[in-house]
Order: sequence, then C-alpha cells, then structure tokens
Amino acid sequence: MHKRLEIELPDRFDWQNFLACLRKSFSVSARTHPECLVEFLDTFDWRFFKASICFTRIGTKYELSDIYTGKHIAEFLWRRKKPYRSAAEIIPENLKTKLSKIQGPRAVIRIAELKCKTSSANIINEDGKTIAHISKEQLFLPQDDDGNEKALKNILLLYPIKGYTDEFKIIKKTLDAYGLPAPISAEPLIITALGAIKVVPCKYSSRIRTPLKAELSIQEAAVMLCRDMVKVMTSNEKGIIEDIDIEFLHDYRVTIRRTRALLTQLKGVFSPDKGDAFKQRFGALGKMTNHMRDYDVLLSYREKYQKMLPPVISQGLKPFFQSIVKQRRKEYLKISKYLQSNEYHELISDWSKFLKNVHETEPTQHSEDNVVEFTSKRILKRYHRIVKIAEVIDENTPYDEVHALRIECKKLRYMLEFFAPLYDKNLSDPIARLKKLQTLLGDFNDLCVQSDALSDKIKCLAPKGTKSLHTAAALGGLIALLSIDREEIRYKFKTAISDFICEDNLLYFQNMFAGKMESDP
Amino acid sequence: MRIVAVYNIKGGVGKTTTAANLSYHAALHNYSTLLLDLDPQGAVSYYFRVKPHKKFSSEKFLKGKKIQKFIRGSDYENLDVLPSDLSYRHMELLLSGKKRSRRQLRRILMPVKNEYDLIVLDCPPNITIVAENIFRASDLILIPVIPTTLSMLTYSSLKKFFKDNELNSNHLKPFFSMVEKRKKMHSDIIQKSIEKTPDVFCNTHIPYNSSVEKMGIHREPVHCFAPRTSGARAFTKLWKEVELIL
Repeated sequence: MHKRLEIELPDRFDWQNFLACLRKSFSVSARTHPECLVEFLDTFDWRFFKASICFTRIGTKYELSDIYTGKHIAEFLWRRKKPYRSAAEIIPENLKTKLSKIQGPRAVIRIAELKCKTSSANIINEDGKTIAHISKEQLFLPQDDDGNEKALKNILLLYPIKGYTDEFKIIKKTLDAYGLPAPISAEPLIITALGAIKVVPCKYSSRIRTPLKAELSIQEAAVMLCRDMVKVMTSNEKGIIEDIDIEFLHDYRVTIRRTRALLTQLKGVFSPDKGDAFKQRFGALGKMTNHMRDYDVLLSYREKYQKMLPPVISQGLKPFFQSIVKQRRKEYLKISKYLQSNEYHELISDWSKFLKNVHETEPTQHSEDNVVEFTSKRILKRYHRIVKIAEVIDENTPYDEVHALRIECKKLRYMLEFFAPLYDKNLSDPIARLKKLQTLLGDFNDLCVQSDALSDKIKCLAPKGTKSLHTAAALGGLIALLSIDREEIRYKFKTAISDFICEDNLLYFQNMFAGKMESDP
Repeated sequence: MRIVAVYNIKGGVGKTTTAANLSYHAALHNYSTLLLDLDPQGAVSYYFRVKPHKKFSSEKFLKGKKIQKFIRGSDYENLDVLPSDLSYRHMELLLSGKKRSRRQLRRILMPVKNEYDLIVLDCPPNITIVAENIFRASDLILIPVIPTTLSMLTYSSLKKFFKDNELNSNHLKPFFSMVEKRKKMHSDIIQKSIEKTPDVFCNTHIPYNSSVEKMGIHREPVHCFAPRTSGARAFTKLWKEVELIL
C-alpha cells in the first residue's frame, strides 16, 4: 500500500460535485458509511504505540494496524459485555500469542476517541480495477460534559494504489482543477486524536530518568529523584483502585522500594529523624501490598502450573486458585480503600511538602556534598559489599544468604540507574552485567517464594475430605517440581557470580567511580 | 520470503484458479504477497483485472532490475500482482541465450525479497527452461492433479524429471484438483493413491465446481463472490495446509 495523502477541505467543499468531476475521467463507485466512534486503545505504558501499532475498536470490531503505513495487522470481533482487556481472554492461539507478545500482562485501556463521518469512493478504470481510493472524513471529538461535539478536521484522504501512478496524476489534476490544495502526507488518525486531547504518547515510564547534573548537591539531586518517584506512584494509583491490571501495583511497589532504597543509601543527606520517619511510613505502605502482589504472581502462574502437572493431579489446583482469587479480592479491597483514605493522602502530601521545603531547613551532614563525589563513593562501597557476600555463595548456601545478596544487588542497581546521567561513560555495561546476576537471583527467589506460598497453603488445608486430598497432591507435585527448577538455578550461580566479581569488573568499577571521589562522604 | 509455484506439465488442471485463490488467502492472513503471472495467456492477471504496464515486456522482466516499477496493487490489501505480457511467449528463447539460463528467476526476484513474505507463481504448462527456472527458484511446488489416469501419468513424469535432473523432489506437493465425486474413476484413483502413497497428496481436494469456473465472470477470487460454496471452502482448507508446510 502506498502512503496515504491528506487534503484539508474548505467549508464550501461539495463531495457530490467533486465526484461528478472525477466521473469525467473515471468510473466512480461511492458509498456513505454510518457515523462511527473510533476508540484508540493501548496499555498504560504505551506498548502498542511503542511498537508502531494502532489498536482501535469500532463497536465489536477490534483492529491492529501500523500507525504510519496504515497496514492491517490483525482484527477480531469481541461480542462480550465487558470490553477486551487482556490477551489471556483471547481464544485463537495465534492471535493470543501476537497480542500477548505486545501487551504482556498489561490490560488495554481507552486512550482517546474520535467520531468519524465518512464518505468514500473507489476510482475505477475501464477494466473494473480500482486504481485509487478516496475518502472524505469529518472528524469530531465526542460530546463533552455539556453535550457539545468539537469539530477537529474535515479532510480528503487519498489512497494511491501501487503501479497506477499515471492514473493518479490525472486524479491530482482533477483536485487541482477543483481548487483544492496539494495533498500532503496524512497524519495518522491516532496522532490527531491524541493531539486533540493534548495527550503526549509514551510519556509514562516506571523507570526513573531524572536529568541530573554534575554540579548539583546530593540533596538537590535526591529531591529531584524523589519528586519523580512520587509522580510514578500517584500515576499508578488509579490503575490499582480500578484493578485494571497487575502491573500498576507492581510499578507502584517498585517505586516505593526505590524511594526507600534511596533514603537508606543517602544517610546524612536529609535530617535523620525526618528521613527515617518517611522510610518507615513507606515501608509500612509497601508491606501492606505484599500479599496482593504474591497472589497476583501466583495467579499469573495458573496456566503454567496446570501444564506442569499431569491432568489427574492438576484438577486439585482448581480449588486452590479459587481460594487465591478470594484472598486476593480481600487484599485488593483493603489496598484500594487505603489508597483513597485521608491517611494515605496525608502521607503523599507530607512527603511532597517535605521535598518542596527541605532546602529551607538546616543543612545536614552531607546535604551539600557534590552529587558525583557522594554517589561514586556509595556505588563503589555497594559493589565491594556484593563482592564480599558473593564470594562465599555456592550451591549449598542457605536461602537467606542468597536473598541478602539479591537485596544488595537491587540497591546497587537502583543507585546505578538513578545516577547514570552523571557519568560521562555509559553505565549500561555494568548495569547489564549486574542484570544477568539479578535475573538468576530473581528467578531463584521467585521459586522459593512460590514454594513457600504453596507449602503454607498445604498447612491450611482441611485435614479430611477428597477435595483437600486432591489439592494437597497437586500442591505437593508442584513443590517437588519447583524445587528441581530451583536447584538447577543454584548450579548457575557460580558462573554468574564470578562473572560479576571478576578482576575485569572490579577494575571497571574502580575506574568508573574511584576517580570521582575526592573525600569520604 | 518463500516462493510457491503452482505448476503442472498439463494445461487446464486448475493452476491459475489455485494461484489466484491461494494468493488471496495468503494476503487475507496478513502475508505480504506477490502474485507473479508467468503465463503469457495472462489469465491470473485477468482474474484480478490487472493489465501490464505499457512499457513492460519479457526482456524487462528478465533484466529484473526494475521489476518493482511494474508491480501493481490488487483490490485486496497485502496482495500485489506482476501481470504477464504476451511477449512472455518469447521467454524461452531469451533465457536460452543467457548464462546460467536455468537459474535466472531467483535472481530476478531478489530485489523484492524483503518486500514480500510470499511470492506465488502462476506457471505456464510444459517442461521448458522457464519451468526449470521455476523448479530451482521455488520452495514449494504445488501440483494440481485431476484424478485421471493421464494426469497421474504426467505427475509421474514430473517426478522422474526431478530425479533425473537432481532437483529436490521434496519440494513437490501434489493435490487433487477438479474432483468430481460422482465419477467413480475419480474416487477410485484418489482412494488408490491414498492407500499406495499416504501423506504425499494434500488432504484437501479441490472440487469441480461451477463457482470456481465463474471466477472468469466475476474476476475475483471465489471466496469474494461465493464464500459458502464447496469450491471456496476447499481453497480455504488448501491454504491452511500450504501455510503449515511453509
């Protein structure tokens, strides 16, 4: 398909008259389409847009197409009462794979909508072959609260067809003779819709990308980072309250953890009493969400668990997951209520006020230290601590010690990510090395947490009854299988750890950070 | 890019209707598809109402450099057509004067390899140098076979040709075409071939169906004007089998 072209139409434009002009050179088959509402869908973090895919819904029809070329990618009909949200709900396997590849565990939500009044025509040659397609589009923003529609654009779209350039020249001449301006590349409809409601695509990211500068003090930098993290937290609140998908809570929890990690790492940057108090309050908030996250993770493994077990045993998982759904619901209601409570709003408002006014308070031990000097020292210290813990880890190390290494790695990762803009060289290399080790530790931890959760459930089962027996058998089977996977990961620890604490990496960290330290913070 | 040829030594076995309908289904399933009409009769181009560009000829085709210029969009999304020209009747002669005359087609198609997921070749009958080019260029050669003694014999000749010329006979995939259930001979031959050589022929049989014949009147793939007929359903099924092989 050739690129679409667009012409802004004057108010006096008469479609029928224009078609009559075209009919002097070609046959024209025209039709008027019923007025339709086009909804544009995407995940909260714009996964479709980032993949250059426009996801639309018109009534029961959902369609994926390329944003810039308009090329059709896939479509499906959805006749259920609730609109389509998650790839797991789709039945045809190829479509399910296609959608889940893009949206992962995220749900799609409406990001914009447009009302379209369309009249179209095919321009046909003497063989009955369509040589171009044109359409007149009147685009509106749907009714606002006062019941008014806002007219956005009145355009003529031209769709040339490959191999018919000579014929298209004649069409262009007709347009010219009709007094219309020269066509330009058409703006994608989704861009028009987002522009009309002043939404900037891809603005949300759970990653903190604060543009820090080397001349800042550590306190100024910390305030900027914390403010950005408040933005991420608050932007996820609505998604948690409306229970749109599990990633809202995940991003929210990660941001709390990052905030707490920053407060821990930057001892002496804020006044100890204030800093510790907020750390505790955020700690309590994070803890409140632990169970719901654990249930989310367990539920996301539902299909995987079913497949891991033979059908005879896997039946026992049904009551298990039913009870998890109920428990999750309870936790969700608790969190949702808390996020709308005065207590929570007070925490966010206190924290925001503190960040706003902190520069007016008495300087603390390190508040005025240079950000680069301070963070370099801390990052290097973290790295050495990891080396110390990691050196003694082998396939027999108890879970708690492995967990301690995982936490240290997380702290280092956060520091590297927060302060990456301060370093001349790209920090992606040490981050990538760390990520490799973290993935392994994370997988190991996930398996431990899952096994623990399943073991806890077995303890809670009724001591009698067929149902309990089936569930115990299924959970027992899963625990056994998970422990095999866990031990397999353990054997990979040694290589990943030695890659991270090797001489080369040590030198890398020394070169990158030791030179930037002038005095001990 | 995968190349699928629809070929048979015999004429009138349903090559063109198969090429037209399979291309349409591939495009419908989001394969960016080019239908290449290699038959000077230009029947498949006629089905899609596409005429060749005035400046197009077999010489230009064999040069290959600018074939994109002559490709035309069909009335269906994802489906383009490179129509044939009457001058293709001289293709044999032109090819014979070239070096590596049996390996020209793949070279000609190189410039469009990134543009299409699938190229479907509607081939002329007979074993000629053009046919040998097709054999060497294609990843899959679909052979419509009418369940008659003569058709089966022609299919055997083709297999022998592949063996004698050290061509990859794994690329050959026959299917029964223009099948008339009421004819005992058709059923017997199909039954015998299933028993004798299971898994060789496609499971789908294309029936002898008036709706398929009417493609010449409608100038559209059968699915567009008679989607519920047995002919249309058979092509949908055949495409699914081909997609699995690809």
